[in-house]
Amino acid sequence: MSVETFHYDNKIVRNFAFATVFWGVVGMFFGVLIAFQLPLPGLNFGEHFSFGRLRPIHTNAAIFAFVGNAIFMGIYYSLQRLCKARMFSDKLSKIHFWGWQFIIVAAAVTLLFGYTTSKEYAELEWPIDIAITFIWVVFGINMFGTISVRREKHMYVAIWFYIATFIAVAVLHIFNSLALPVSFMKSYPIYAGVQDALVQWWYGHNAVAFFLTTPYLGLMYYYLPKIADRPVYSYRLSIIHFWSLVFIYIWAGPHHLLYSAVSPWAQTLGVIFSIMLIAPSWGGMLNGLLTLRGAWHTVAKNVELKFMVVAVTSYGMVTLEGPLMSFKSVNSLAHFTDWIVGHVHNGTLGWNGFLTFGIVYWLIPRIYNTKLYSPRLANAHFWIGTLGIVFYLVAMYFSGITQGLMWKELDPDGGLMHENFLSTVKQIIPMYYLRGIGGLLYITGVFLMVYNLFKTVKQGNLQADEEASAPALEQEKTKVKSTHRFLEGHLGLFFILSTLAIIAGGLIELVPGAMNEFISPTKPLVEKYSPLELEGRDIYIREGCNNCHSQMIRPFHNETLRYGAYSEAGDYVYDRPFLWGSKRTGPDLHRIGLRPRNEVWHYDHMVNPQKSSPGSVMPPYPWLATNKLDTSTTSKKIQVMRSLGVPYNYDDVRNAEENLQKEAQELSDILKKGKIDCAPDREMIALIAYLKKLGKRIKVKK
Amino acid sequence: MVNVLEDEKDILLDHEYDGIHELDNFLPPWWTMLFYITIVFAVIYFVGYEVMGVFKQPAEEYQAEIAQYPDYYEDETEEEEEGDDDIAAFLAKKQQQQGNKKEVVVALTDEKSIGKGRRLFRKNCALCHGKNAEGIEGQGQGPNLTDNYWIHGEGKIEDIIHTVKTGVIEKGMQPWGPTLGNTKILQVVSYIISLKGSNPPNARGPDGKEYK
Ligand code: HEC
Ligand code: HEC
Repeated sequence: MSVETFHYDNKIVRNFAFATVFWGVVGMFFGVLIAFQLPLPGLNFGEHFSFGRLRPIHTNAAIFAFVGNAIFMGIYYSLQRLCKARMFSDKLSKIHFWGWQFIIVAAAVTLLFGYTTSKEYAELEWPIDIAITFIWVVFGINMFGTISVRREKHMYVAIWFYIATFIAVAVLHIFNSLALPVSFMKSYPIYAGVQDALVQWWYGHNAVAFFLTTPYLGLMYYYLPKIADRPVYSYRLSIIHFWSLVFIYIWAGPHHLLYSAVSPWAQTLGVIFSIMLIAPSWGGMLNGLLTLRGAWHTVAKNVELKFMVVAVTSYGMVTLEGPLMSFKSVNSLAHFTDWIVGHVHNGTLGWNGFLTFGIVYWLIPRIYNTKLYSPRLANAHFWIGTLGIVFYLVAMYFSGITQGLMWKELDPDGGLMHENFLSTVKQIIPMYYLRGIGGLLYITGVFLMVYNLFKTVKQGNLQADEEASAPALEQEKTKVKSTHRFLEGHLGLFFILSTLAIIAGGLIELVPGAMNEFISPTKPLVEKYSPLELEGRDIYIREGCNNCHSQMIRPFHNETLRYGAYSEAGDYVYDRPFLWGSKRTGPDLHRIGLRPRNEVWHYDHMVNPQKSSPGSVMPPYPWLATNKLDTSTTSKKIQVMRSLGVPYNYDDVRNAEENLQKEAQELSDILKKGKIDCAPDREMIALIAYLKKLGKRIKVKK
Repeated sequence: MVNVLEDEKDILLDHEYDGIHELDNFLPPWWTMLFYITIVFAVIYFVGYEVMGVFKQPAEEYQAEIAQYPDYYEDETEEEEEGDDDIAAFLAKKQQQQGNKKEVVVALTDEKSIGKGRRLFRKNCALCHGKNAEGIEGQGQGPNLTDNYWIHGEGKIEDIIHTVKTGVIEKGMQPWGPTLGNTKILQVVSYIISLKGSNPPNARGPDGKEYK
């Protein structure tokens, strides 16, 4: 048996680690800012820094920049050691690193300028989507290349999770991003309405599953036993929970769409697979916590482990809460409220954040060949961070449940207790402050970490190429003890099987619906958008109104009283993208055109919501009244919609601009009657046209 | 060497990855049980909803729910309103119907009409004027309609009907004539009149001039 000597690439790990910390600070800064923008609308600093644009920046920065870089950091370090091999290609590592950072910067800039698809966690426009695909493939080649040249016959459980992550994210990203470009930074999705919603939440749910969960489980399986110096509790549990998790997760997407216009059949699948997810998820938590069996005394002394214990516990809490929220009765209360925001942050702040911190505190001193500068400071970080999470969660659960109950509350008459939505908003303002303070505490902890790591790095020396040795992989066949052991030795087979497990749910949930739509399309209940309304809709998308407003009225007495007839599939046939939203910081707008708000009211309210609705948390949009509407792509937009199957005819395309101007003039005249002077070529006119259109159905003659 | 407890020695698996070992513990029985229970639940749930149809789907749930509040949904089945004709003519007709000798319309006072008016108010007006017509602070919100202060007209029934019918466009109140029609307007206005002097809590301060 010949022993080979080789070198681990620590520099790439270091780079990803620094990027993680840097983007973590940026992402959390935006988080704290938008948290305070709600109770203090004055913090909406103009066009580029208003809530609707910053919220996607926060979510994208937190997920793809902070967690993304942390995943790569964790994988590049552990994969080399688990495979006993250097990364496959230094060049690919470099392209991966810089490509990813470039994408992040491009994302931040374009989102600030309002280029967005509006789809949550998939807001980036098509050129960036293509770049992401490219970099993901680079990552894949590098990872699978490394696994192929490994000196360890079997793949450890962490690697299984890395593989599943790669496959699932690739599939999700590609299928959710399919769109037809209108121009360099604008596109319309190939799916419409209900289909678009299903695909988006298949994606959205599984972005949580395969970007925030499976890679982190992989990291947990490497770093937790390593730091605790304990054997993993149960190999069998690893196997069972891995396969059941990757298979079941994909199916649960429709639990984001309960009581919505998607078919009840898909909703039922969403519920049952969410319930069946409890045990597989808890398998991960158990394997993590039980690994610490007999080592709890070290946890008390070891700050990295403390971070990890809180992380794994958070994971367990979130994965129990999620399925519970999939029960229809719970969902009818929780959905659209801040409860969901609390749920998510339990996961991101607790599970992702704390696991990352634990890893970074352990990893940086290792690759710098030194000790952590100050474990005491890290300990302070731990407690401040934990306190921050507690503040955040208490605030959001309280506010979410308050919202949910107030929206539903009826008086003895059977009417709404709180007709005016604003009174439910004012009720939770203190909670918004409390949440902001929680965020401030959390980021303060991170600043302590930055200082601590800075000092650590200064006192150490980067071991860019760490020497290691391992016997070359034996080629002779050994007797395999079990089928799974066999599988762990065969990358190709493993890849195929996990791909099948991952795509099954998506195929069964999405394809029949799409086929059915193809055979007998949903009957439209609405008229298609006029050019002006379409432009207004794109402004709505640009400003990110969907970050606060839903467009999905659920079939409940209280909602039909408040918002009008409940939403059905036929209402959305022309919606590309769908704009159902996921949170009602403001009221639902699906039928705002039928609600007693006239053009003048909208104008005044958009320019200064706090004047119309004192105490409102909606940002002011004065620039809409002064910005000129860009009509250079109007007819192109209609044309693209036409190629996507919207029944515009050739004249609609050719006369798009003319029709737009005519309609704009009429609206401007209406405003003039209300003593408001707004030229027809302003963006505001288009937006109001869109708002007034919302909810109007085709008149059916009796 | 990895930290192995006394009772774990027998179940320590022989392989090792970068110093990480694995134990061959059984699946925790309660965990397995939990998994089975959720699967059984899922099967029952699926069969109940999708195969046998014994559980109510959202749309059916909704029908059952609104059946408890028939008052709020009768509008939808009602006949279309007669046209939005001229107010003067309408008022004259009403006067005739009411057998009213005097030259003024009289507010409806029967319980049914007031009830109808209240529901109409709650549905269309409360959003801006508050649940009990107490008014809501803010530029785009409506004034208190229960006090003696009026911006438009003197608070007489004709005045109120006129304001409601034609709206106050520049302040954000739409003309209600086209949406509600005359009959409903009379009902809602009668309801407003019935609230006079009711002194609802949290009322908005006075707007306009006082008329006694
Ligand atoms: C920070 C969250 C937030 C954002 C972003 C936001 N809104 Fe609002 N919006 C609210 C809240 C809260 C209310 C309720 C209070 C009020 O009337 O202002 C509201 C009310 C409204 C209303 C009145 C609805 C009704 O029935 O009373 C309209 C219309 C509206 N918003 C449109 C928009 C549009 C268009 C955008 C994007 C340009 C937008 N909002 C962005 C929070 C938001
Ligand atoms: C979009 C908000 C809004 C809605 C909905 C609304 N109003 Fe108003 N209403 C107002 C505003 C604002 C004024 C004050 C106009 C002014 O200041 O000149 C007003 C004024 C009035 C007045 C005159 C008050 C006075 O002092 O002269 C009456 C009467 C009235 N509304 C009745 C109604 C009725 C009845 C409904 C429902 C059918 C209704 N309003 C719905 C906003 C609204």
